[in-house]
Amino acid sequence: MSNSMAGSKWMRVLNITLIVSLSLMIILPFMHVLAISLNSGIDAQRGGITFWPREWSIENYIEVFKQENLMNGLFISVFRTVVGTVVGVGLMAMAAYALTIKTLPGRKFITFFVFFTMLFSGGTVPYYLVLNELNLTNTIWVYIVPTLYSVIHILLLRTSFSQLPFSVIEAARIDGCSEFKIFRSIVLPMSKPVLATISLFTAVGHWNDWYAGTFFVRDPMLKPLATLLQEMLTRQAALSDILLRSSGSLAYEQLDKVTVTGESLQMATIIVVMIPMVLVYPFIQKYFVKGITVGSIKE
Amino acid sequence: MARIQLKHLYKDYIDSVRAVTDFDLEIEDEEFIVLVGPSGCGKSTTLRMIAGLEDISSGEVVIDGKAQNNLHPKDRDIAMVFQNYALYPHMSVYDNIAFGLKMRKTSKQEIKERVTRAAKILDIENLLERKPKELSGGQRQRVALGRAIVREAKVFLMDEPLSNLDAKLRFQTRAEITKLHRRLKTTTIYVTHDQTEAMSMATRIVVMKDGIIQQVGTPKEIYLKPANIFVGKFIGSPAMNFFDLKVNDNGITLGDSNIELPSSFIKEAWSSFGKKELVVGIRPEDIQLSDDLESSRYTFQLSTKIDMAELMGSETLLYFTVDNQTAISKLNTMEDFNMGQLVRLSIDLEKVHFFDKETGLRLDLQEVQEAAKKETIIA
Repeated sequence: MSNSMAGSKWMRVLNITLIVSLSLMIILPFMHVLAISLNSGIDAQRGGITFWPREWSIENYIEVFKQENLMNGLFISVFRTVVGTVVGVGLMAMAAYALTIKTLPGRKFITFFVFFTMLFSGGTVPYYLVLNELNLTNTIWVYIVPTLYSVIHILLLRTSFSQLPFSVIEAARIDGCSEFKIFRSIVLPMSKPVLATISLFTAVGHWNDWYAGTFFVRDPMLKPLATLLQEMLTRQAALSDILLRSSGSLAYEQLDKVTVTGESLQMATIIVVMIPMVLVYPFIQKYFVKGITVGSIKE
Repeated sequence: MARIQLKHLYKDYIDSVRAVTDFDLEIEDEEFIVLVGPSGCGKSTTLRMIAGLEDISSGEVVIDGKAQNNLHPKDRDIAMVFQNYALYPHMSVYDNIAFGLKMRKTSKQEIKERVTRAAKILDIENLLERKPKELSGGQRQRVALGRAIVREAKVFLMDEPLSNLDAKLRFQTRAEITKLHRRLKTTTIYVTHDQTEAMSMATRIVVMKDGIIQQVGTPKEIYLKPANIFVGKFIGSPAMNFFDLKVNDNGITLGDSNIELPSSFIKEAWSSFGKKELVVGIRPEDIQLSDDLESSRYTFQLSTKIDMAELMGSETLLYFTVDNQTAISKLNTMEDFNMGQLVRLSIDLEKVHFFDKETGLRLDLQEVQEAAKKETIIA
């Protein structure tokens, strides 16, 4: 008895240590980024800032928000994230549910067909040609249409749906539900945890994606936030580089005017891009905690 | 209320496994039919074919003269209770019960009335706002029953609804389902592997094995006249004792004992069976201590040592060995017995069941037993 109690106490200590260590591994880099972003850029170059700013400054953030089309970029990002996630997850869930129905003709072939596309990629140029052929380039739909389909997410959803108690679906069938009604009123509400997870993955993917905006869109009014900030970082890095490599009074004059640096701007950018996602997380976190099917069936 | 005809149902799976073979049965209105058998005997598959949850490979399901094979489950006017309750976890008890009515576009007022009525019958009125996870197993099963009865369907299908409940709750709910059937008089098909449930609830029992009906009859018929060795073994607790029996010129040999029988008995037995080797089935309650049996009854007797005695309350189970097989006698006594104690047991010939050793089928011994009654048989 005492041995098992001692064992359980040690397990508890071990668990807490592990969880605290993992939390620190996430929190400390975040604090480091935040500290540099709130520190004067030139001062930060001296180094030595770890988790607390030495010379407080919000100029890095002012510089970020000075970016042209920033609010427009924010709108594009929000639009593609919301529409892309809602429509994408909805369609992927429908596809995944269909793949769990044992009577679906050619189910194995379709599953293999879906899976097969995960193994190969056409590469950027053929991808661009396809988008161009579909008249998607330089439109807002280039952010949404190609991302409506993710093999790994479909497979994750399919696995999750296939683990739902089938008797509940049969009960709904006897109760008079159509297949779509079963999907909407029974399957989706019972799959909130996996839907929340996939939605988060998809939304983060949309929010952070700067690639599509850089390569497939020319119109500056269609660039999402991530692309605008990435372009700004590139410009800043290039400018600092030129200034530092240059010699002569002009360079020093220019340097005097600059209060932000590439690194501090980068950190402020990271925070600006990250904050909306961090704010969303608590609202969906509750679905990760506990499965929704508790009480439905006798396990 | 409905009359159900199940005409030569077969169920074959793709991997050429035949789950149900030639299931042919007519169920009268208001009957409570229990399909009973061991796991994998095809009873649930049969029920699911009636519900429309499984395709029928061949045969026909007819409810009130209307073929059901091509109808969707929702159009069959059946309600089903599942073994694992199958409640909708994200809905309240009220919504769970009301869901089927909502799907059928019943008016809100009527839904409310019917749900309240069902909840009252099942004594779950105070649980209507709760979610399934906040209920105990017994309460969840009542909600599942409520979901079925609120629909006022023609047929109730129940797939082992009590098997997830503990013994006490199972006993209570069993009685409640029986009462519910008497009250609603809905034709019910109930699947179970528990022969006690079958015996206590059914108006008729269908015993199944390997997808084939073994016997259909009232609980009494099944118990008193099992159609074959399997039915004899499956129905009754403790199970029927079976012994190999050899018929010779002077009598019968049961294990090491040679039991002399009057010539008329042997003659009848020989001509009735035409066989020398039989299986005899004796229910534990038909093996009694010699002193307890009335002397005028026609018996044969066995002397044996007790291997073990179990007091079951007002009854005692005696375990002993005959022909290297363990046999059980159920005695209506609380007397103490010791291991190894020698006892003399009597078996009433009128209550003995004879089966063909090759086919396992029951051999009707009525005439033989009539002949045997003419003389007292003493081993």
